[in-house]
Amino acid sequence: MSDERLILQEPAVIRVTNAAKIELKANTVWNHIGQIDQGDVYRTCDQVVVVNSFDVFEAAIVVSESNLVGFYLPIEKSFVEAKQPTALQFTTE
Amino acid sequence: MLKKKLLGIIGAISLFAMTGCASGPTFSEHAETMQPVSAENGRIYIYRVATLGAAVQPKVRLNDVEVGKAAPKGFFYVDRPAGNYEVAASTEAERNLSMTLEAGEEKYVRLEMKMGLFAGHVKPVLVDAEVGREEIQKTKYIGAVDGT
Repeated sequence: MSDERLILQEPAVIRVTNAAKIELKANTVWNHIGQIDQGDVYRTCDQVVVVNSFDVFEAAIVVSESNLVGFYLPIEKSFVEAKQPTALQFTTE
Repeated sequence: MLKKKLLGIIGAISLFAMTGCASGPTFSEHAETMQPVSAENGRIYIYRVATLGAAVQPKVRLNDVEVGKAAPKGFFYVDRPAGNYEVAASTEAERNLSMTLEAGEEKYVRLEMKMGLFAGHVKPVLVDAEVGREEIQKTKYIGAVDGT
């Protein structure tokens, strides 16, 4: 965990298998909260992020080399892979 | 004759749907009496906007403890310490929401009606606070099981 804070410059729409699409809003601030094998984990207080399938899970985003590669479910301690990596336009705060 | 019968049936259906809806004070009326959430707790608002499937009004549970009912056009709220929570509504097909609550935070959970093969069921969905604050205005206070 670090103090790194990123600001998302452009909105993004992410698709996950068997779940509703996930929209990330522009100008949201993302705090680094940890790291997993797939990448760095960030969460925001500026919008709700959920993986909405049969059940609904609050989620954090997982970023690797400026690409969103999936979502981390903190309560379940599991990773949900995005259908394809999506480039995110971040600036540091 | 047929038209009269049809009108009668429509009237009965409408009356049934209306009686299934919440009848307490509106959100803005109740907000005047609401205590602010204490520093060590967060607040979870749970509400249902849709009247579709009004007859289906399951109990709502938070971490397996009953906290209220999924009444159409109704809302309630509970204050809880920071931590992980699971929201569920008891229907034949149970759908769960898992989320983290921080101290001082407000979470809004919309109860969505989903039509199943044999019966409707209720799905709790976490929504943005700005969406929740707007949608909950259309509901009436029904109270939580613990009295909040």
